[in-house]
Amino acid sequence: MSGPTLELSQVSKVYLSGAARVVAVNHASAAFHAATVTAIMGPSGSGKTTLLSMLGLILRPSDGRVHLLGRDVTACDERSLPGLRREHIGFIFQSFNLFAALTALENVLVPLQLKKIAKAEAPARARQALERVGLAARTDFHPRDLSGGEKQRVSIARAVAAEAPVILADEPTANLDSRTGRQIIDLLAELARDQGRTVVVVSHDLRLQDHVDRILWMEDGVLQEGKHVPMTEPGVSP
Amino acid sequence: MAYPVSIARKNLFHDRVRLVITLVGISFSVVLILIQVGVYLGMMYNTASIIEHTDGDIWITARNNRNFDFSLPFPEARENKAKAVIGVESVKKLILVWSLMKLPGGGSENVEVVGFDPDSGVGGPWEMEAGSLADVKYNRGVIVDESSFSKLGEMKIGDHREIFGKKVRVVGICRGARRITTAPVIFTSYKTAQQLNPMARGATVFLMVKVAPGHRAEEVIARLRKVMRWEDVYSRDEFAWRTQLYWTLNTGMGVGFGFTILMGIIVGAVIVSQTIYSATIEHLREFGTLKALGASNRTVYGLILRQAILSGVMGFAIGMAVNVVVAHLYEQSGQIIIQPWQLFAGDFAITIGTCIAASLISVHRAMQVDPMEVFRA
Ligand SMILES: Nc1ncnc2c1ncn2[C@@H]1O[C@H](COP(=O)(O)OP(=O)(O)OP(=O)(O)O)[C@@H](O)[C@H]1O
Ligand SMILES: [Mg+2]
Repeated sequence: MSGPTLELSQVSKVYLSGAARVVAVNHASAAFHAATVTAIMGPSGSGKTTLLSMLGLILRPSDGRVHLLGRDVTACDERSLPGLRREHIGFIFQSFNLFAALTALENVLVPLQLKKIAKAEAPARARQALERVGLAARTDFHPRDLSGGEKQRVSIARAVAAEAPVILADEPTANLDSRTGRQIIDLLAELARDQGRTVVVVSHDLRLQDHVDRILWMEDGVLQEGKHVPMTEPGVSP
Repeated sequence: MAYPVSIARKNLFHDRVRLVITLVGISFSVVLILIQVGVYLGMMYNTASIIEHTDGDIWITARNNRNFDFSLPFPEARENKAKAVIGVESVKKLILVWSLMKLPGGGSENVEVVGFDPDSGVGGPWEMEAGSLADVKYNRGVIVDESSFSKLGEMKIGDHREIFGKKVRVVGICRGARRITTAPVIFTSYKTAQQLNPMARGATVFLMVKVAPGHRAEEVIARLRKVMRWEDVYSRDEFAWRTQLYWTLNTGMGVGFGFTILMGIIVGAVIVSQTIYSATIEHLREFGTLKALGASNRTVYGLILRQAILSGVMGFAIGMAVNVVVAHLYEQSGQIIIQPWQLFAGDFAITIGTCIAASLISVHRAMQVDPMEVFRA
């Protein structure tokens, strides 16, 4: 195995809102490897989403470097970022972010058409991805006709079909009941183990910690290497 | 399932209510513009129809004449001056005077009496429904336009009426001769017309000049202007244009039509920008998601633009279909509506242009969206 897929070195993000200066992420460093599920946990407002946005090349750090597959992407110009996201990164969101007007299958096809995958290949790949997440019977359903867990599985299929080596998930289970949430985490873990993807999951959900390879703890913008958190720790919602 | 998936089209059809509002708004604006311009052009056609249906290359009128319908007579002997000019092949006289027709049931109506030369037929009716043009020569024969029946009552060949105390005889019914003044047109011989308004005695109202082969109209006009010192000399197009301009600018008609047309454009623009903007706001998260998935800004803006253009094309198509019906009904009421292809092309451009402009506002809004918005619950 070569170096890390994603690497943060001394990354900071400062928000300026009016006179206020919020240090959302404070000199965070971490490396993320293929075939590994990493959980980033921490209280609300600690900077987890901000960190994930920088990992996903959606947000530029105020300071520090982000390396994707060994390449310093902090130096990339704005116009090359969409292409990098398209090729390398799949997102899974707390609110699923499916396209309401499209069927499950069409939703999965969106990243494929952004990548200009040929017509001969794309539909088969999308169907396969939906099969992979157990939704072969739901391909023609619109999001409004799917349950929360099914919607999240469609969004996972969307990342699977795009064959992104990195999957970044922000609170993927927050809108789901615990059983469905478990299934989603298992699915993400499988993607890491079976397909060698680099999976990063941001979550409040402490029950997650037994199902991931590694935990990073975030508090007040500071990222620390894994520690197990007792389920009863005050100030952290289960 | 089509691939690539047309997100623009799917989004558009996903929200049916909004789509209906958008299309009603656009097509309403399209119909309003097409009909208003069509009616205006129809009226402009009417104002110049008698002029356009003559073969006179040059028109001579009393000095400072402003338009066809309100021209003053001048001595008919002036015809000889014009005839003597080099390059003039022929000169024909035409009278247009106002007079009063007594109605059978009492009362009277203002009429426009057109006196033409029955031998050449120039300046006379161009579409006969019944009777013969040449019959105006005898016994004060007149030809009435069928459109005037609503004002003058039904008439048939052989009927007698009274104009300015003179008994006239209906010898023909014609079609398509309407004046923008809404006064009925009575065609008769030049001689009879002179009897139906005392001002026209020994006078003509227009001289229509035909240019001899081998001569250029502009040169003949220049020569005529030198000779006809008390009259105005115009080319036919210039005279028609002058008449149309008079009705457009000096009567408030142009302002009226212009205002309605502007309203059509504004109503269309407001509805389009409103619906496209609200659709954009509603889809901001989806646009953010697209960007997160690796769509470039161009792709997202293209999507918004395509949505707008698609609305415009569909709205225009519906507007065109409604226009066909409305224009048909309007024509059935006996009015003229003129809609050249340039009108459709122009309105199409306006519609699509409005949609594009409206979508630019939305693009601007989409640009301002916080990229982290996609992560919000
Ligand atoms: N656009 C912004 N402008 C100013 N401050 C911001 C902005 N986005 C986030 N912040 C602040 O940065 C800090 C970290 O926010 P972030 O969303 O990354 O936290 P989080 O750990 O994901 O919280 P949660 O668990 O509630 O999702 C918070 O204090 C937040 O108020
Ligand atoms: Mg968050």
